[in-house]
Parts: sequence; C-alpha cells; structure tokens
Amino acid sequence: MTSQDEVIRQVADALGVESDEIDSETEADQVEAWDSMGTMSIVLWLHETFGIELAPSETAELQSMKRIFQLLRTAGHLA
Amino acid sequence: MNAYLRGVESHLPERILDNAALVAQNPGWDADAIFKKTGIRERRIAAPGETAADLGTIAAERLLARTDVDRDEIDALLFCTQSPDRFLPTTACTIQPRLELGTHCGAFDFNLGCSGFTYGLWVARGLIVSGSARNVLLVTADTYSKFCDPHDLATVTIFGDAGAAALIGRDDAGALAEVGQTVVGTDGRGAENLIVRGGACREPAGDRSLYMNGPEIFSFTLGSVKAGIARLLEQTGTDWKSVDRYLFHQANRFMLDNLRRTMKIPVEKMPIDLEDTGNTVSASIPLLMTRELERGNLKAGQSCVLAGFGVGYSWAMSALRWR
Repeated sequence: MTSQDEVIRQVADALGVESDEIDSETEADQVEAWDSMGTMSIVLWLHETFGIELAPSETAELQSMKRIFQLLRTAGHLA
Repeated sequence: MNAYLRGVESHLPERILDNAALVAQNPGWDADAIFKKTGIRERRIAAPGETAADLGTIAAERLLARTDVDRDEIDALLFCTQSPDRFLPTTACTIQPRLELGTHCGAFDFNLGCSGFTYGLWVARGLIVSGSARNVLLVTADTYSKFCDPHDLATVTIFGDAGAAALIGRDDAGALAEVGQTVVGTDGRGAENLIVRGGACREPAGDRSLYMNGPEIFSFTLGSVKAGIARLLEQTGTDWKSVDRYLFHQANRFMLDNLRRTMKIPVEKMPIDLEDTGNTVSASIPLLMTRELERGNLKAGQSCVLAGFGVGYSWAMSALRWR
C-alpha cells in the first residue's frame, strides 16, 4: 500500500519533472512532459512497480492524477 | 520431418528520409528529440509506384540467386503484407510469375504486420513438417510510408519500408538454422490502436492515414511479449538464460530498451538495430537476421528466439537453432 504523496513523487519521477510540478489535481495537458512518451513512462512505472497490466484502451485512464489514484485504489495499492 | 531455414535476404528501397527532412516539413519538431525518443535517424521510403511486392520480389530474387534451390521445388509462396498491390488478385499470385515459380506452387497473401514473419514461420514449418511442401518461400514486405501522414509525429518518425524473403525447406544441407516451434496469440480488442480505417470495404471513404496509439501499443507489448516468450520456452523445454540470442521485431528503441530491461535480457543477447531503417513492420526480423548474419553474430549451435508483435493485436514467437 502506498500514499498519494508517494504516487505523486513517483509519477513526477517517471515523467522526469520535479515533484512540485504535479499535485493531486494535475491533468496530463497541464504538463509538457506528460505527452505520449510520458504516458508510456507511466505505463512502465505501473507495470514495474505494481505489476499492473492494463487492458486495451485503459491507458486513457492515465491522463490525470485523479484517474491514476482511482486505478491504484481499484488494484488495491492505494488506500 | 524437420524444417530448416535455408536462406534469408532483405531489401531496402533507395530513398532516405532522415530526421532533418522531417523537421524541414514540420517546423517545431526537433531532430535530436526524434532520435532520442525513437532511436531512429533515418528510414528508407519506397518510391511512388514502388510497392511492397516490388521490395519483396527483389529480396526473394536475391535469396533464390544465393541458395541452390530449384525453383520448381518451391511448393508454396507466402506473402505477408498490409500494403497489397490491389484488393484482388492476391499479390502473391502476381509475384509467382515474376519469380518464375512453377504453376504447381501454392501462393497466397496473409495480412499481418509486425508479427508477420514469425507467423509465416509457423505456417511454413507446418507445411514442411506435414509433408505438404518441400520448400516454402516466405516473403514479408510493407510500405507503411504510403499510409503515414507526413505531419503525424507518432507514425512518420517510426516507420520505414522494406522487403525480406526466407526459404524454409526440409533439406538441411547448407541450412542456416533449424526452425523450431512457434507460439502465436491474438487480442483483437486492441484493433483500434494501430489502424488504417479507410479505403477498404468497412469505411471506403474513411481516413486512409495510419493511426497509432503509442501508449496502448507499448502497454500491450509489456504484457504480451514476455508471456509469449515464456510460453514458447515452456513448450520447447528451455529457459530464458539458455537462449543465446533474442531477435525482436524492431519497433522503436524506447520499447525495445524497456522490454529488454523488464525481461532481464542481457544487452549482448538482444540487438537493437533500427537507427538507419526505422520500424519495417513484417520485414524487420528477417532484416535484422540478415544484418546480424553479415556481422557474424549468429553462430552455429546458438539457440535463438524470434519475437514479432504489433497490429491486431497479434504476436508470434519462434524458436530457431543456428547451424
């Protein structure tokens, strides 16, 4: 089980940006690095850190921090 | 009866499209950033009027000239492309007389992308082992450049054109490798993520440019490629460390680097070689094989896993042992 702050830190790390560029309300279109390549980096982070394998079309769920939190809650990794 | 890879050849069209040319067409793009993200500096592009059949036929002619096979002993011609000359007839039927293959030779196209070469090995081996064919000529070629929107960063930076040909037969004399088992897989739920929607019967007036959802394709490969290889290794009674070479479809550097890392495959066992060709779809694995053979990197006795994966979604992994 992880925390929202830790998830934010790790998403920022995956995107290669400073943690203060991301908060719990951030959406992909607000961060330049959160483009197609950035989304792939988040896919990789989810796979390596939590063993999450997304079903086809589920990367659409990775376009905001709220949706990433929801995905992790559903998978039982976030309280 | 066993099946053997008797030869493999490839062909690249002459025209080069480099990153500087892409940037010239697309102000705001950055050539270094394209290379950093894709690992590709340039790709080869078929000329107007030059088709996948042309590229594949040149590769096949080169192969037949190099091997000592009697063309009358080729019993099947399999042509894999997603850029056929026409809706009909089957392009393979038009390649058969160009290669002066006998009229007894079966010929058909199959429509697959990046899994096409290994899928073709699956079918070819089945034809050989069952005794249905003495030799099978497997030609894989594509010209995705004809589908790419020149202003779509996701596709035009990635794809290049190429053709390749492999001869699979039951005669082991002078063969390059023994062709082992192939495992295949399909997940059509991902069909929309790599697609040319228009131009065929479903949407005849629809968009004819190639669409690729990069994150979706990457997500698919993370899940399916490792599982596919694991299934192949289980069927062949071997393990990851016992494989000497992994020859993957050359998709892009980001994907290959991360697949390699997540599967813990040593760098020296898995070549990445697309800097001057781009992603050449179903030709990429045989193109990699020809280049690795020229470099002397595929040696007698080595076991090898080939992994093709992509549009469909579709995947196929084959076992080879070099001789």
